[in-house]
Amino acid sequence: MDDTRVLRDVFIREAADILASLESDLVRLEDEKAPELVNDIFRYVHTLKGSSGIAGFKSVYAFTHRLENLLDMVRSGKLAAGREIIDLLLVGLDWIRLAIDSGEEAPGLDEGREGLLKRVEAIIESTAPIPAEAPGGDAGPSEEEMDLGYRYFRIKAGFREDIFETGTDPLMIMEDLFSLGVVVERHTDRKRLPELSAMDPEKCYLGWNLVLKTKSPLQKIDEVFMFVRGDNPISVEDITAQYAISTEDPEIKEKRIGEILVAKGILTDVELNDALKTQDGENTRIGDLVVAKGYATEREVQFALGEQEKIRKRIETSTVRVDTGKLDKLLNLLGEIVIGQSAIAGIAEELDEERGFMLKNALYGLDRTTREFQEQIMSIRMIPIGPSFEQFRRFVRDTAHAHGKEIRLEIDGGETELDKTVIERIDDPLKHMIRNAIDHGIEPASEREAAGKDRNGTITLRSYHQEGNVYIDVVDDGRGIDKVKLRARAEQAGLLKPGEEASEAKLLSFLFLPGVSTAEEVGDLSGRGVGMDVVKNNIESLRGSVEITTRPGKGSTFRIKLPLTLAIIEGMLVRVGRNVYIVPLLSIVESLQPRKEDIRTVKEKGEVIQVRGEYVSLVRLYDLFGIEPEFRNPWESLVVIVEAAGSRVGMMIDELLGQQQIVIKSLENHITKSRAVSGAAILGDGRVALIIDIHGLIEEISR
Amino acid sequence: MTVIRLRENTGVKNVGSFHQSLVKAFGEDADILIDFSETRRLDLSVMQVLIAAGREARAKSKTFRMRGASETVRRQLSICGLSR
Amino acid sequence: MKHILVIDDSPTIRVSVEFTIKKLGYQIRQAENGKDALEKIAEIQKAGDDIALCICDVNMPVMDGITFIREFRKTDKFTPVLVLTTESENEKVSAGREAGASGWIIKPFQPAELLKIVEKFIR
Repeated sequence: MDDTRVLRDVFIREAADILASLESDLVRLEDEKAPELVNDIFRYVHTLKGSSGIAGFKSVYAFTHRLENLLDMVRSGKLAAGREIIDLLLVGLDWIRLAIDSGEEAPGLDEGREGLLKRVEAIIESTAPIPAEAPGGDAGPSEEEMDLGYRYFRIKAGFREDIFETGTDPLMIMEDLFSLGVVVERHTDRKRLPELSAMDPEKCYLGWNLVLKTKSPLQKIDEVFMFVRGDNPISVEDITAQYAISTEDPEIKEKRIGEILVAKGILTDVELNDALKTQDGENTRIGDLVVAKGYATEREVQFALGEQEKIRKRIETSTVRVDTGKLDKLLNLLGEIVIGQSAIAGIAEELDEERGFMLKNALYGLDRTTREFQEQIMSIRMIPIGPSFEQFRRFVRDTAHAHGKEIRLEIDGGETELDKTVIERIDDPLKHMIRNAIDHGIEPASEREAAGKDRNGTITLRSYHQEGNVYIDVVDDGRGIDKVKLRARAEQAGLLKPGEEASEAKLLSFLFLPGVSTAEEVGDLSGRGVGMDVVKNNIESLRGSVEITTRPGKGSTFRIKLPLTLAIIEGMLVRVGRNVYIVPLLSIVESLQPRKEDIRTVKEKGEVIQVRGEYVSLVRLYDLFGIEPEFRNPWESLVVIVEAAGSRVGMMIDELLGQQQIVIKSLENHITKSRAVSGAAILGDGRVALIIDIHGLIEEISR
Repeated sequence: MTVIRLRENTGVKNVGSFHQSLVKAFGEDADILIDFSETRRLDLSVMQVLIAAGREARAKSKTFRMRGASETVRRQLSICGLSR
Repeated sequence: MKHILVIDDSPTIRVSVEFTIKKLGYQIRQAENGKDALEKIAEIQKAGDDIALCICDVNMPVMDGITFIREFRKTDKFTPVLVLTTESENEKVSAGREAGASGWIIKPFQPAELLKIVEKFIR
């Protein structure tokens, strides 16, 4: 007896059993309405579907598939298991029995099925709208993809240490990947692999970073990783465009050395460009060229190489878990040390010249150590943002699916380091922005196709350091923000008068105000009352800012700018009377000395100053803090214009003392009720200066 | 010379003993030879041990060689950057 | 002797899987549900034999597939487990993965496809 015959026989026996159980359960369901019965019934039909497909009963398979859909709705509570459904199912069982007994050849079988299916449809339609089917489907690569020829993908694959414990062999996955094309660049990441004697051979340490040249579409590559993607750091990026231009990786590496030389002030930009220009292919190294041209000495290049190594090492070394509370404590203790130092410095002043000089010299050395100590503590707090980004993969997938959209998440710059606290607190705002991009930014596939775009949308999360700040971009390639609609909303909300001029930046800034959104109706996912205003507030409480750029039909970019760390700020020291205050540099717009005629008192708003045609509330800091100032007239003093949460105020001060990096000391032990103060810092001379919280200040005065 | 012959099915289930025998071999004076002639394919756990052993050999200036790799195994070695 | 365990409440599926992969030369054992499978596994281990692979359905009475995988992983970390799902059960794939599965097969399957996947995972 051949296998097929045996299989059919096995199936016929199985089906008979299932049908009998189904029948009795259905009848019981009519009386008992027990949910576990519904589950059993569903499972029977599900099993029957699977088996009939395998045994080659195509008609039964198709029919049970539809019944399964119907039952799924009953199971999930969308449909009640009423008389009508039970009747229909019972008749359906008779049909299945007939189909199986006759080997799907009984006369009138097809008509019978059609009739039953119509009844199924009618029941489904009468209760719930059928969700619009996503057009198309996976009918293999599109013509576009076929025509593209070779594509280049940058694939970074890391694996959880315990991945072997799921019976998964990443090597097998990599073999599949390598079989898709030619690997033109390969880096096996062995950094985490310990020494032979120290390694646990049952743990996974290896990763890959490679460029694959292939004719397969992205989807094929995704398929290779499908089962492991969810919880392993894996990224696939189409770099065909880049790859065509910047052929070789070594060049990028060389450039980095060049960049270090520039950053350390050894080379100027011009010199670097000059050196890069004369570099003839891969044989000469930039370091050698720079030395040959006399721009730097051999030692300086060695130094830069050392720096590069250090950077690499920092990524390499694995870690010990430390409670951040302990780090905060350390930082606070360090603050105490600085105070102690200042006190000793004071004593040095009182000593005779020779001994005073010796003491000051010793203190100078100590000072350098403390500074380095502080930097070290700060560096402990820094962690890469990558894992935080990775966790959004699932979120994007699920949310996109809930909207019937196909959206890829691309991640760039996951190695960028941020203060741990910042990373923890940026999660929510990021999630909201991503959700917003999925909900409002990326168009449905049909609309994208009509616009000549890839059916699948892309959201990119990118992070990078620039000028002492960290940037996080949330980029979508969707429809962009409709400024006409936004304007209409703003007018409706009374933020703009009809016809009033408004720059693009101003229009976009309305997005961050409560109650303004361009979605036609509130999407069920990004609605729920949490708006972009909350996002902006969250980011500002991290002393960051958000900026939007958008291009119609091309997409939008939300750029978050954040300080590297929360424990240190770039502050402007200002003096009011004999007190020193610190204003976060990030919130300062400008400082000016107002003219007498620019100061007005406006009803409801109080004192204002006119800055380039706009009125800004004036805050007399000495009043707020109850201290004695040097100047009481605004036109004699200086006014610092600061901005937070979209509004500006002008703060009256006596003098700008200059900017400085400030280590914030928490104020828990001090007593201040003012919301305008966020913390304190100890200045070099031991004095304590309060840090002005612009956010709190604006809220406090607007009451 | 210490010859370590890999079994037909060397993988994560028995990589522990392979690892142990390598660590032991490095503790001794003799050169080390890994024989793949009975091996159909490796998995990543075995590969990692081989890579670590390669490093160790370089650090200790010891001779560490492999022989008898099939087409499949050679391909696997090359995926992991152990081409020879 | 190396065993492959086929766990599904449907005898049709079990038999069809067995027919497809028997040419690989492994001893194939069938189990009706997770609990049955755990018992069979205990027997196999008692006899001093090895399990090369488990192929396991998700929806089963008595003990479902996800529970089975979790139980199985308590004593066997490395043996691959393939999950059998239908195309309508995407969420089962991730549940299986979280429980410790190594891959999945969609029902109904083409024999050649099944064979290809299974061959990859036995080692």
